[in-house]
Amino acid sequence: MPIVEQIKANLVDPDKHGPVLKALVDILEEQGEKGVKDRIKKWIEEIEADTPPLTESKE
Amino acid sequence: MYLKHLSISGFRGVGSHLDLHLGHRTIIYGPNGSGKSNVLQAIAWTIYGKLPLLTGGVFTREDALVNDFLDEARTEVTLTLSDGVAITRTRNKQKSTARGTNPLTVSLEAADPQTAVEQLIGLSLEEFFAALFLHQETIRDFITTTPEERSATIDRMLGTYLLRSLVKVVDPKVPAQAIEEAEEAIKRLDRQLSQASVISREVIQKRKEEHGDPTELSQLLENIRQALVPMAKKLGLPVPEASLVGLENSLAAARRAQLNTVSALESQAGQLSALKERYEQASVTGWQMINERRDKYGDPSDLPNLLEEIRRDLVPIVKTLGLSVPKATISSFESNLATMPRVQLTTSGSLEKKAGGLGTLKERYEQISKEVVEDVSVPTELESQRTHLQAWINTLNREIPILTRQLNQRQAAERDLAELHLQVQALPELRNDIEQLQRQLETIEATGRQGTLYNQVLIAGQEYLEQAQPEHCPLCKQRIVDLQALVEILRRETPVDVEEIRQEYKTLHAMLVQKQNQAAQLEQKQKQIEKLKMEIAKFPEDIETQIEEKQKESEKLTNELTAVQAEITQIEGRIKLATEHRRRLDGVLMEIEEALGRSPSEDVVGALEQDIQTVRKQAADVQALDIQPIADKLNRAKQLSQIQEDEVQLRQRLDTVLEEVKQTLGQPPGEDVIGALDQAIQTAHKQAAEIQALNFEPIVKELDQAKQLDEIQKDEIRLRQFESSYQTASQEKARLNYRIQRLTDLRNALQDIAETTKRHQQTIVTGLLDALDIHRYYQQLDPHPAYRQLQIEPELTAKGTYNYWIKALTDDRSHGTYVQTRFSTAQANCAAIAIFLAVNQHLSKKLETIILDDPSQSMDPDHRMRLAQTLATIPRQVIVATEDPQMFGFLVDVFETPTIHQLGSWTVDGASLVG
Repeated sequence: MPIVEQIKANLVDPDKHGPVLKALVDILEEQGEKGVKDRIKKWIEEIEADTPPLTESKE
Repeated sequence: MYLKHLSISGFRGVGSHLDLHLGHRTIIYGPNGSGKSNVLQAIAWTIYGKLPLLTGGVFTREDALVNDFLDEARTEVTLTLSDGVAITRTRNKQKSTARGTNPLTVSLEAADPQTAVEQLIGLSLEEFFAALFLHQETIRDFITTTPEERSATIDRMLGTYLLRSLVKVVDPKVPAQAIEEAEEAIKRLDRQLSQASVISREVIQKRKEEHGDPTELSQLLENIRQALVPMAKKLGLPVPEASLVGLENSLAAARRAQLNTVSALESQAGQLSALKERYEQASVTGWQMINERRDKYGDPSDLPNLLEEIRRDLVPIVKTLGLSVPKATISSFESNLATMPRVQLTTSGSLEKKAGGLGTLKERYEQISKEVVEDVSVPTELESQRTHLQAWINTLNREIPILTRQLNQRQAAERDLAELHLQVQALPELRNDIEQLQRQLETIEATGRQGTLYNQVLIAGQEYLEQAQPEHCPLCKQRIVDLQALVEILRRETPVDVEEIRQEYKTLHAMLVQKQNQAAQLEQKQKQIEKLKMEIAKFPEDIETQIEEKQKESEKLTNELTAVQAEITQIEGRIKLATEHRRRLDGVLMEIEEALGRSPSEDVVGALEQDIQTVRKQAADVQALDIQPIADKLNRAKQLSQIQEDEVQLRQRLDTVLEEVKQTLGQPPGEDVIGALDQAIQTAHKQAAEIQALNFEPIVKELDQAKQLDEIQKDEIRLRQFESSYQTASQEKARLNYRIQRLTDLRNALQDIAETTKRHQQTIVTGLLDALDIHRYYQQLDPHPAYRQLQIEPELTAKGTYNYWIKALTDDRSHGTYVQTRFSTAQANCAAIAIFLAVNQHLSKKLETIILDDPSQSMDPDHRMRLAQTLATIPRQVIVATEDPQMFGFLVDVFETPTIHQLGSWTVDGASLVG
């Protein structure tokens, strides 16, 4: 079994965190360690730039 | 299962087509850059569609997988396995290595070909490169010196490099920091909202009830302004505006102006009082004091006469003291009188000292005069006696050594004579010995001659008998019965030892010669005795007596000479003393002449006495000088001069005060100056009292009320603004909470991944290291002569990654070292290959193949041979690429039926096989 699958199987929440792991491993294989760091930063920037849903803004 | 065939087209450096059969032992041989590594990489790429070695920034800038020089710009690789499965991967040229797809087809029924192929091989990509493919970069990196790089390489070899990278870069702290920032922003919003909530309508209503309605504010401000206007005018201030700020500023200015004006008026009154006092002083009191001093010291117009009188009194005194006559001025007299007591004291002191010096000179003269005596000299008879004695002693002193020398010579001759006498006593006995020896020699000489003759007879007889063989003796003529027996008798007859006799003769002869020489020497000494006796007879017999007498006479004369010399020395001492006294007296006389300033008369003492009296009288006269009356007159002159100056100054002061009064009042004061000043003082006090009486308290109270109304008005405005912005702040807070939620999700995901990866890494690494049989291959590859055991020690770092230490141990494990510190490059290579072979054995269960790309780097021939032999023993398919001719030769030698693919030098047409 590929290592990604082995790790995924042992995650606390494989359904939710598995895709994140897969994405990180793909980036790691293609762009190296710096690519992973940049990707995490980009996710954070995307979250910060994102507008919350209308329902939450009414709270 | 193993690899059977490889067909490559347009992959990296490979040209349009390359077909390779892969046997159980396959060697790919070719020079550097011929494409060997590309062939091996094609195997991995075909299976996994990617190459971990081709990652990083540079590979995103071009497509490094497809050959650059082919028109088709496409690659296709087909790998056929021993069980007949064919795997084909293709790729069209892209802008980047990472971009694009690499379609895979496999000769199997499978929905997901990639998964099917990986399951078939039984290895993940990482495991494939760890267990199956030992490439030259791994060997090179293994011996790098940085623990981090080396450990990363070992992770690659163990197939855990991906885990290492994930542990390193997946950091949950990064989103955690963004979460903290968002939470801080929420706190700021909460603080803002809580501050705003302080302002409420109820509070504002209560304040209105207490302080009034803000609508009345403008009327209140106008009322305050009306009350302030007259006060401002009185204080010389501008009329205030009817605004809160303007009125506050105006009130503050008025209160400052009140204090300043009162202070200025009080100060003006004080100045006027001081001026009045100074005027009174200048016009009345000052003149009264001057008149009193005139009554006491006289009219200042007498001053010139008084000064002339002082001058007259001073003239004789300054002449006595040797000073210059002063000018007729007070300062000149003061200066003169100031120096006078000191000069008086100095002059009298000098005169006393001079008298004392003359007295001392007189005493010394009298003393030395007594000591001077008449001239003395050494008597002539004493001088001649000394000369005579000295000459006689000198004569004796020359004779005594001559006699002593003669005595010594005689005594030496007598000692020699006694010695010779002793020696010649042996002469008679020596002569007897010589005669005896001569007799013995004669005897031996005769014996020798007989012996020689006897021997000659024996030999001649023997020869005769043997040669002639007579029947009868030629001498006695008797019949010879047995000739042979007779010859034998002659042979047995002992011949005389002539040589021994000769030696004895020589010895005795040598003794004779020696004794004859001794006898000759003694006879020579006998003659010396006679000669010495004659010499001794020449010396006088009474030499000792003569020496003794002359020594006694010399001693006697020396004593006499000593007595004469002592007498002469005593007389010479007296002469020296007399000369010294005369010199001292001359010195004193010169001093006296110098002190008197003239040559003293015959009566030196009298002349000195007379001068001493004169000097003492002069000193007494100087001491008696009285300058007090002159000092009194000078004091009066100074008072008169001071009165003159004070009168002038008083007139000037009065003029000045009157000018100041005029300036202060703004007009001439008239005749009654004091009355005018009194009136001005009263006016200033009155004005100050009026200003002081201004009351600002009612205005202050009204202004406080106005400020409260203004504050209420502003709060009402802020309340209205807050009510409108509250909704916006709530929306912002909700947005931040949403962001935190998403960031928290990300952080939890990263944390989960990081921790799980660390645990997984730990499980794999510890399990793998326990299972690996590195030792077996290390032994085959020629281990270090001392450190023959090899093991990997993992060390968990703070980051969660592993540092690996390759430790080598002796067989008894008593000594250990680290490969990187003590191993040569070739030995380190062997260690790397041993680890690789162990990992291959452990991980690769399905695909029984091992691929090595240039494994013999930095190895010597012996190590290469061992590597080749080790590879030959591996019970798996072995594919080796090498550029090393020697390694190639060894592999060909040790591999059973090897499949050899030789590549030629690379050209733009791509890698090509030779032959």
